[in-house]
Amino acid sequence: MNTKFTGERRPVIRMNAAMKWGATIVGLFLIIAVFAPLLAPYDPYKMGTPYIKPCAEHWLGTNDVGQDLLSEMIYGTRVSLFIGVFTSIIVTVISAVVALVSGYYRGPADKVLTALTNVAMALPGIALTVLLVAYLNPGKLSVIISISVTAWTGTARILRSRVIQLCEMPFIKIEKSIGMNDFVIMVKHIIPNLRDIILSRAALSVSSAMMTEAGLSFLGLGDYGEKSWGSILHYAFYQNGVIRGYYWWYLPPILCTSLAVLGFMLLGYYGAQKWS
Amino acid sequence: MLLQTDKLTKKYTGSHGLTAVSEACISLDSGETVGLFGESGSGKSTLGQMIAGLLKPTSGSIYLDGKEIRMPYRGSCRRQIQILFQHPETSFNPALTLIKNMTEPYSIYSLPCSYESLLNDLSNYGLYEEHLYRTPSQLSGGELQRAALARILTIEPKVIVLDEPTSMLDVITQAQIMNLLKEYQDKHGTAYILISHNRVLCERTCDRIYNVEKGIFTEEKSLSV
Amino acid sequence: MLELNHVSVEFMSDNNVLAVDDVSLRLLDGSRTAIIGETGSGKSVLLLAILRLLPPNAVVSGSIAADGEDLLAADSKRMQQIRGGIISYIPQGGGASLNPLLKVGFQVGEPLIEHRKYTKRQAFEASIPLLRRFNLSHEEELAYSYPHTFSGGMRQRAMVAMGIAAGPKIVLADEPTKGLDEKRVRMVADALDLIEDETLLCVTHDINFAKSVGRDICVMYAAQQVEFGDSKEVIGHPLHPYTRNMMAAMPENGMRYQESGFAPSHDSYTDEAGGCRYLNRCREHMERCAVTPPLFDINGHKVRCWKYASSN
Repeated sequence: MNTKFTGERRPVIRMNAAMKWGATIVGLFLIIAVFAPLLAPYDPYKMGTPYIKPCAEHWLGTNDVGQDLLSEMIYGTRVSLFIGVFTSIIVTVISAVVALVSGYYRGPADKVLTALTNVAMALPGIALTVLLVAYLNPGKLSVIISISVTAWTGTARILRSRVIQLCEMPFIKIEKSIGMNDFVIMVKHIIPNLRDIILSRAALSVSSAMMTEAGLSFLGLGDYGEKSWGSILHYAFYQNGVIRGYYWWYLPPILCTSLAVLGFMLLGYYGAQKWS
Repeated sequence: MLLQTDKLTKKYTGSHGLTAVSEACISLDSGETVGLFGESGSGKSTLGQMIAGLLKPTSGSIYLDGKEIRMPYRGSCRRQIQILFQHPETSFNPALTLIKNMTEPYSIYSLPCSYESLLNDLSNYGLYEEHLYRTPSQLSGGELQRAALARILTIEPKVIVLDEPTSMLDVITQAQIMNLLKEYQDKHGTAYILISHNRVLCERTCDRIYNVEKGIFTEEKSLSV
Repeated sequence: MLELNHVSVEFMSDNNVLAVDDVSLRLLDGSRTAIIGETGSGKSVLLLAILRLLPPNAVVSGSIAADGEDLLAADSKRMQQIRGGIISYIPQGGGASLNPLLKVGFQVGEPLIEHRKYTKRQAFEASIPLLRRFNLSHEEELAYSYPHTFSGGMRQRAMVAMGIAAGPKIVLADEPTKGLDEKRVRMVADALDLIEDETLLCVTHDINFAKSVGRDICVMYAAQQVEFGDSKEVIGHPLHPYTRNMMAAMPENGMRYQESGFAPSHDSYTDEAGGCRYLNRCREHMERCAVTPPLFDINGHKVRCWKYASSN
């Protein structure tokens, strides 16, 4: 079937309906995170009258030490997004490097890296993450590292098979035969053809990292001083807010986490086209 | 003798233990076209890829200009042996436009290149400015194979392995490419190894033919040209 | 009998593409016709149009009738009965269209379950003589095996067997030898020879295969029919400059051809450009060629070229 050639390049990223929704949600959270100081009505650390129900002065009420929940939630967006996105970046980079070296060179390098991947995959992720976070100095970086340590394996495996497929294709063989060096082949010829998978998996990694972070913070293992949605929920639970029915305290973190995770998962539908 | 193989063998290990190429001894002189004729799966592509330095032989040797060459090919040896494949659509990076693919040989070997000289060179292959900014999916099989050929000829190799270069193309494009190859060979004395399952094509274009069956290469005696 | 009258197929999208332009064919019962052309000439699209298997954005105009029944007007239930039952389709070479997870005997017999209401058991048993008919020896064993144990040529013959299993009247073969080597091409040609009673319409880019399989040849270029006639005539004495170049370009004929420059990119074929589509490659063009020539008939040998206008 022929198509008319206009010399136009195809658009860089095609958005389908799912992605548009995902982008809207994520975009909203990003704006909130960036403009947090402007949007939050109060300083989230300022203490005041505790357990106030939602009212005109405090749209979401206050927590057990009187901090305005709306401000907490707004600032919490920053922490949750930051940890989610950064973990995803690190995970994507690690898995891409492992997949490239493993899939391109094969041989002993591949055997070693595959063994490493299998071991890392077999380790119980949550348990290891909890251990690491407890062991390392508390802080955002520790959380990011602990999650990254086991989260890279899934993407690495998927990318590795795609790299192997690509290396079997004539154009890579021709690149080798015309004398192009390995590094350039990997960066110029292999990575662009992995773009779709990488972007899709990266979006899903953010979701996954955000959920893990929420879980860790809920358990009290997250970044101690910072406000994150998970830590808000932590206090809500451990200060008996749930039993006492202070819905304005425990619902917002749950809803926001779910919504943000959904947003990134929708973005992960990159490449899925509606059959027209 | 420009290129020679001495008992070149490729065996695959595993439960099937397949011997794809068995002690192949073929030779090739400058300006010569040698054909490897056989059915699919007979081992001709495997030998072609070993000669092109893309597949490591299990045993045996390859000699270029009398000197033994081993994988990985480097430097001038890498430059002198090139390969063209059967499927032109996958012979280029699908994510890049043609011009980004075509300028590579110039940068690798530091050959002088200007936009005008590139266009001039490509016009010999029926490729023009409009083709350069398209991606492989927007070009036809014939155009892509001609571009692949143009790219390889930029670095002036001494030996080109042609792995069924025209079996996916229509008969007129096939004739065009074979004629382009012939012209280039007459001018530069390049040697070709033509891998094909088309008997008539081999007979019309090759000086000598090796029959390939189940990995065994036998030279045909007296080919009537 | 299969009759196509002024059939055109246009794909609607941002840039409309005319994939088939005004093709008319009359295939009598038992006739064997081969359509030859380059990639992009529209030949495969034509076959899919007959079976109404084109994507939703394809608009088919003209008329397609099988034994008087208008295929373009048939509803989807009727088309389901027709596909495989009355008109069957053999897809491209290599037999890659076989389901790797099902036994070959089951797949070959499947049309019988669908169209002749056989039971699974009966269909499976019926597949055995079919496989034997196409020279697949040890047919009992083969029926119980899976496609991956078959070689490419064997798979393609199994596809042919599957194509005629339910006894269709018309068989459409879409490039059945693509990617196959000479020996396998001959096997497929032999297999198709065994289909004697049915009407055969075979699309191919392989001229030798077309000669052995078709009694008539239709040449397509740029979505149009440019030549039609008895296969010996078309191959031996081609009329249209494109056909002549095709024959001259064959290795058997010395790979000579007379064209000015290379084939242009396959751009969208719309009548805005007008004129003969072969114009910029043809060395024999005249002033008249600025207008699209009609299909001239010279004693049954049809050709779309102004050079033959006087002999009309």
